[in-house]
Amino acid sequence: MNNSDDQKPAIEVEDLHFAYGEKEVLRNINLKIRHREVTAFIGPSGCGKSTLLHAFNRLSDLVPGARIKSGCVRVLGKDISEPDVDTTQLRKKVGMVFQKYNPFPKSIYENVAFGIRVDANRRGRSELDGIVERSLRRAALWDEVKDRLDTSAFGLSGGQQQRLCIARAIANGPKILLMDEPCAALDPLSTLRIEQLITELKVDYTIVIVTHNMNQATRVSDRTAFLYMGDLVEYDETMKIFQRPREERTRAYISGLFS
Amino acid sequence: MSDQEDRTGNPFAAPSRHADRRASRERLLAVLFRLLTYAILACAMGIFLGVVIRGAPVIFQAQAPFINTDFFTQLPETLVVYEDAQGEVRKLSATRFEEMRSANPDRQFSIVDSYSYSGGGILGPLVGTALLIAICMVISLSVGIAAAIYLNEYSSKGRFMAAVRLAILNLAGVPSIVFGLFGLGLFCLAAPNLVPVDEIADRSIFSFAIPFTSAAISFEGWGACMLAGGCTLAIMILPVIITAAEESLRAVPHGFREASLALGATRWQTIRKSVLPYAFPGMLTASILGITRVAGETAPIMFTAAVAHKDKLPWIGDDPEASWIGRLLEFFFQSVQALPYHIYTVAAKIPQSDYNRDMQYGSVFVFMALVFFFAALSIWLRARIRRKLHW
Ligand SMILES: Nc1ncnc2c1ncn2[C@@H]1O[C@H](COP(=O)(O)OP(=O)(O)OP(=O)(O)O)[C@@H](O)[C@H]1O
Ligand SMILES: [Mg+2]
Repeated sequence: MNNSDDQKPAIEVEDLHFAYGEKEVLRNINLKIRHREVTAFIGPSGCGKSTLLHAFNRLSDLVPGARIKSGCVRVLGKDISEPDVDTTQLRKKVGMVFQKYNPFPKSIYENVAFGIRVDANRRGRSELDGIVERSLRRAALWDEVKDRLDTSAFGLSGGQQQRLCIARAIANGPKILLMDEPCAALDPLSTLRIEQLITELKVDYTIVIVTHNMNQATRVSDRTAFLYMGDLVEYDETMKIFQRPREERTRAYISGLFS
Repeated sequence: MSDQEDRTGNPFAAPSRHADRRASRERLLAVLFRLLTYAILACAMGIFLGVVIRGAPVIFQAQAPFINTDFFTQLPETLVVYEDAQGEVRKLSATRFEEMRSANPDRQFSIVDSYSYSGGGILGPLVGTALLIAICMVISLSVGIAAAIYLNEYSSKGRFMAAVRLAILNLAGVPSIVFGLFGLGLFCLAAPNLVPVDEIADRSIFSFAIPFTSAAISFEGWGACMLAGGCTLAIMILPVIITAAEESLRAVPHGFREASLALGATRWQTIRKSVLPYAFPGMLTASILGITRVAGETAPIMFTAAVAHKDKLPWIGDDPEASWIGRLLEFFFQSVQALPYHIYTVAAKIPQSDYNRDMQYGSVFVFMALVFFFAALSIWLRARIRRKLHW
């Protein structure tokens, strides 16, 4: 990616209103996410964090009736709110990791290779091997699984499975990684490893992470967006949000007055 | 436990007389329920034992291959009951009887009686039923799975879909004789058929000649044939297949679909690679159970496909010179014998006597063994799959 591209934000949201059927769940969201930064979305349950995240790769299409009412979302400079956007191409550029790690009931190798296998241009075995190895290394999983690539992914621990899901997303060569509470189902040690990994990955990828854990937000993110009942209340550098929030609601939320 | 203890130990205990009455009533109910349950078991065992006791001796024998191979390798034929020179009454199937008579021209026999369909074996019905099942399964699985995929993966929930679902549910409750008549009307009497121009049947609803050929498309149906029977059975079993396939699809975790789509797979790729493979075992189990149901149905095939008598196997053609396409058409457009229909024939349509017992019970025994086998297979498969696939 050249520098002129880098000048533009990786994700740009303008006056976004998003609704499930008649129910508007995001109102007037304006947000610019910069390249190679980690942005955290925080906010109480049901405030619309996942909804906003799913708007970035159009996974929101899965829900019948979900739609952008007005405004636009630009990802890597392209408006993706039009219905005729090639979502498969978009989703290759914008990888996603889910709250509940969800590898396929296939081998470790096949899990990582999945994105390549469904791609239109076929690749040879050796190239595929290379991509799988690189992705697993990048997800800090290679050393743990290199001897059992052909065994089922379900044999891995929860934390390993989540890192496998990260490797699987990386294999597609994305620019952006969306993570929806990636550590919510993990133990503290596995959480720590994922957090370390996020810090390592930020060199190459733009990362958006949803988290309910304030400490995690401060540990991994450069910027934090606080959403509350469908509004983007405050969006700033993480340090500022947590030390000198401008809004009373933000202060109340991060100090644990409500959740 | 005595009531005295009960009252001191439990402050909520009812006065003793009530407690007594209630306890005895409880016991009575339990006994009643147990007896009723045993009654079901007794009925099942009664049928089962009756068939096994009278049917097993027909199938198994004491000498070496231990199985009555004739019963599985011969077509049903007439049973001849005769009195030999010693005045002893014996029975033989018609061909065997003729063989014996021509081998011993000087021996004297007097034929006592003959019973149609009661001699020989059940090869014809077995083959016919297998073919009907095969046609039925190919059609109902392809249509049923496609419908289930549409209902579960593509359609959105709405009034129309609710109506479709209701229709499927209702279809499952339609008596099989109605399916039989429907199949007769649609496939045997009204479906489009390719016929020579000068052979269009009088019943043809509508027909037109194909230009430059001597053939015509005539909506006169296919007559009673294998294809009509298979299609009728397929329609009958469709609700079961759709429901089971949909359930299997629904059992595949949503996360697989999300992950697959998020990795840039198209919708169809997602279904084909991340949903169907995991739903397939469930569909397989359900379709095996479907087979056991289809195998036993008589009503849908008795007007559409089945005949009592057939002197050759389906793949033996009338015309040895016919082209392969002619043979193929002949194959699918011929009537067949079928096991349940054969049982119906030998049990209800011919004069009853001790001499056709063997055919009756032998056929039923084989049929029950087959149903048992398929049911057990599906139960075993399901257990295996449950153990293997857990997410
Ligand atoms: N499929 C859906 N259909 C209708 N409404 C939905 C759907 N998914 C979410 N919503 C509604 O949209 C709002 C935002 O939900 P969202 O899942 O984005 O919240 P969230 O911030 O991610 O919450 P959590 O922290 O619990 O994951 C909620 O009010 C929710 O009820
Ligand atoms: Mg959420």
